[in-house]
Amino acid sequence: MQEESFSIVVVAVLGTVIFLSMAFFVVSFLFFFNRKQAQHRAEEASLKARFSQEMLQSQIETQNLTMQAVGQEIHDNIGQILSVAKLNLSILEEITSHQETNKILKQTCDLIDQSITGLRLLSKSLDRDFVQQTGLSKSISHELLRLEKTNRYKTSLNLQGDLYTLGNEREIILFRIVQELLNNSIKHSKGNIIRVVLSYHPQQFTLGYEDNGVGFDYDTIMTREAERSGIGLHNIHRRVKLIGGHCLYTSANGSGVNVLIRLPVSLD
Amino acid sequence: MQNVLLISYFCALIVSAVVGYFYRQRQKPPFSWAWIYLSLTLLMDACSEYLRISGLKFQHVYILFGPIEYFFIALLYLSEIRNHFVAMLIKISIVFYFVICLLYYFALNYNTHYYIFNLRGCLIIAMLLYYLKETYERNEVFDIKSEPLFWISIGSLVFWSGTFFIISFVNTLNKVNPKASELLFSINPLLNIFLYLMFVKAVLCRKKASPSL
Repeated sequence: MQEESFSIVVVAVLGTVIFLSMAFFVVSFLFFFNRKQAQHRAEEASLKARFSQEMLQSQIETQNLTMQAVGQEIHDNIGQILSVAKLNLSILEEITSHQETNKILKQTCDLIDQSITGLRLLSKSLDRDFVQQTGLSKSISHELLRLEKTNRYKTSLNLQGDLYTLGNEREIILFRIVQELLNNSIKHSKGNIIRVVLSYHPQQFTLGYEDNGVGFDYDTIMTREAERSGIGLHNIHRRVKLIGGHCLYTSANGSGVNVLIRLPVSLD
Repeated sequence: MQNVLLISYFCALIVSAVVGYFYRQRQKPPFSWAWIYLSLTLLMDACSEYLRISGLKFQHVYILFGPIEYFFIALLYLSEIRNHFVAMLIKISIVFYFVICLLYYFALNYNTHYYIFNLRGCLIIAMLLYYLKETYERNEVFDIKSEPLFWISIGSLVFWSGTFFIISFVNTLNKVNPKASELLFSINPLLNIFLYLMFVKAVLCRKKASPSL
């Protein structure tokens, strides 16, 4: 009888142990499984981020190469043709004695001169080597000058702090961002004043951009994914992120655009 | 009390078979065939219960149904387990279990079906543990709650380990207090109810989305 009671106790204890270990097994399985899944998700997210960064980088690279090719073509081919055309007109101007014709030929020569100058400026702004050689501030200044020559915009570039280089890649990306912002101002803002501020602080580089145009509703533009509008802004955000910076837009309908790009800097 | 549990068990089985039938489109085979398996289980349990109440020998119904049940459960695991060697072992185990049941039925003078019942339980537990191991090791992001076999595995794990405990406890207790042992055995339908509720949960799972990477 005592032996049977003992075996009942043994079975009861064993059964309880089995049940408890089963519950422990299920709970710990789910715990470790969820932990592993969280790791997988983090890995997947970082893989996606890396992939999109690489995509963006190659996109920027392709864009730069295309711009450079177009710039070279303008400089070497169209520029040369215009120079030859100007030369021919000068010859014609010399051999023609008719005063009225000479006047028209001179005007045409001036127009071709203006075109050559405009094309040279454009070719420089398309050339990434130009940014590398002259630096960010001069490239932006050159870009603003080009805009100023249209007589439709008043521009200003304000430099603060001691200038330093941000590295080729970062400077080219920042320059392309400024080009994109200028393009947006020309296309959409309807304003006539553009200000750019470059602040070279020891720990942080800041690029400020503002125009006095009609502005836009930032949230509406950024959420309009299906349409093409807003892609430029998305690209600016992605590019700033790519070079490790932070971008802040301040704009509302009727109050112009204010963009602030901050980049951490290590001068070592 | 015993009758209430028994009726609840049959209700759970009917509900799971009906849900399995109406939601069969949600799953791919063999999960979409769950309603057939559940209906056969219902039929088998109704027959054995009728025979038991009539005082007739009912164990042979369990013995003959054993290979069908094992075949279906093994089919579920075969559809999910990716290791070819283990898949082959599962296929062999189906044949092995079928032969054992035939031998048991024809060659041995059986009084109980518990031996082949326990063997089936051990095989299913081995399969489900391997499935959980493989699921844990999968290098992809997925929602385990949308995996029908996960719920069936949880149901089976609780059912079989609970059943092993109850059978051993009942057998031991039977020598001392047969009434208490009978009362203890009456809680067995609770495990069945849990198992078939897990089947319902499995059948209601949404179809799997393709892996994102």
